[in-house]
Amino acid sequence: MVKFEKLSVTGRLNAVSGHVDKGDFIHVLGTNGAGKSSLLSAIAGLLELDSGLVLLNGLSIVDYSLPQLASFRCFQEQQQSSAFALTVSEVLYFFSECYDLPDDLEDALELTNLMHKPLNQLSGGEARRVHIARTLLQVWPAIKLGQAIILLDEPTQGLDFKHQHLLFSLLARLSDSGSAVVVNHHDLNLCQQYANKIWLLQQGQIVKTMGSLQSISNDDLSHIFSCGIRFAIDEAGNKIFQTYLE
Amino acid sequence: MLMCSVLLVLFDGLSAPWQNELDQQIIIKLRLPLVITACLVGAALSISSASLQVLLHNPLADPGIIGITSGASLCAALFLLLGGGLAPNILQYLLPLSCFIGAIISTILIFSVARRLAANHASVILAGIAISTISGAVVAWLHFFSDAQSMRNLTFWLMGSLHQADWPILFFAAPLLGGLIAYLMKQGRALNWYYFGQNSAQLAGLDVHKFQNKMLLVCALSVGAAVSLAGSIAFVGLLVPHLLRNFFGYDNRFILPASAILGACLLLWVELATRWFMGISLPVSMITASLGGPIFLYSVARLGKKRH
Repeated sequence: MVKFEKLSVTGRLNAVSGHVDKGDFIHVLGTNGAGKSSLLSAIAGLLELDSGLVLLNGLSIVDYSLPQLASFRCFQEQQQSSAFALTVSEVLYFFSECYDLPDDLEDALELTNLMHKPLNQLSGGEARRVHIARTLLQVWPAIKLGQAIILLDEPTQGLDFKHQHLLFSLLARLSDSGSAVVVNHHDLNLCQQYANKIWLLQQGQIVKTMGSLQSISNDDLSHIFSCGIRFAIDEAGNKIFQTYLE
Repeated sequence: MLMCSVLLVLFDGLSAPWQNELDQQIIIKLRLPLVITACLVGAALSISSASLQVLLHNPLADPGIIGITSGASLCAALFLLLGGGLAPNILQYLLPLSCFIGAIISTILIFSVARRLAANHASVILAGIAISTISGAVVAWLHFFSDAQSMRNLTFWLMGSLHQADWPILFFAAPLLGGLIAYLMKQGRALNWYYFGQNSAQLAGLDVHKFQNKMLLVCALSVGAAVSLAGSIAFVGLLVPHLLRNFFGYDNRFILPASAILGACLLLWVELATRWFMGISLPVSMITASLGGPIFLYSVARLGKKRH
């Protein structure tokens, strides 16, 4: 669905290449400043590149008109704010033309009780859930057809544990139905639980692509994150990670 | 509401306008141009401000904040002081033209300064404040060096009046302003995407650079034409969209046309109020600022109460 070749942006991306297939749920991990947000932004077509090429469904991203692109690709940026006191229902309506959330979204994001509140009165996590809903609603018809490309920059920021799991369960279901989902965050355990592909980023490059964190050594992880990382094995044989300062 | 206000301003105080020829002359030569001027100027100032506030991410934005009004005022001041020797009938037609040219020049200046700073909405506001301050300073110097009559003309013009325009001026200005207002009315959906900034609008499918340039140009032309017709009118642009958003929410597909209609009504009501309560024609800005200030305060207080 997505192929990108030698994307370079001075100081942010360093000739990074890769691809996202139909049904992928990719988790992007890396330290602050490794280029995670820039990579998502470049794939979304928002970042001006020094060089490189992004292909969506075999066609260069610059060959799509913006409305065409908006119909199947969505991207939620890390920071979202408005100078105006819009209510939640207004935010959702302006970007999707619908007042009612589809059941799948409501089950995961639980927004019904917030609909008439102004966005700037909500907690950080609640506001994040609204922006995720707005982002997904924009490409909901493509999601239903299993043809959406969903890019979310730190979607778990501010979310409580329950909503982190509800969100990632939803995203996993969307990728199972054919859409491609790429998220970046900093939680190794969520990554271990939900990802079907992982990109480790360092200095603007993907230094390792893998199916799960089972296949990487602790030393390699510690080296990439410049932080101590140890794990235990649960009953199902999955790693449970713990981080510490060395 | 708009129709009632128009009819009131047109026929107020006239006993039998369909029979009396003098009344008909008053309506055609004096009141109809006044009504058209009030509607176009009120609508243009309000809808431009409503658009600029969303576009520049600043609820306090109005044509004054990006320097268009002061650029137009500077050119008008220069013309009033330097062209004082011209015949009044020539002065009457050249003054709006000089004003419009001033608005265009200040818009070009704001664009070029903003482009040198950075291509975002904050740089447009910064450039506007700079141009506005410089224009204000030059107008103050002109005041200082002008003779008493020129100073009086300039002061009166700077406070705004709906009685300046007549048919020949409206013949050019009305289609231009009407077209610009109609264009702005249709931009509600795209402006709704702007509430979370340029990136979110682009991700929703809007070519933001083209849209922003076009919108700033249309707003500048509307304000320039409005100031040319009626001078500098304070507060309408700030008050009307705030009041509407306070009661009806933030959907620009409603707010933009409603701002145009309420802006037009507001200036008609100002005309009626001065006629009924004062019996004379006062500078519009005096009334809009006197009434607008307290109403704006109420609107802000109501919004604060709603939030808590």
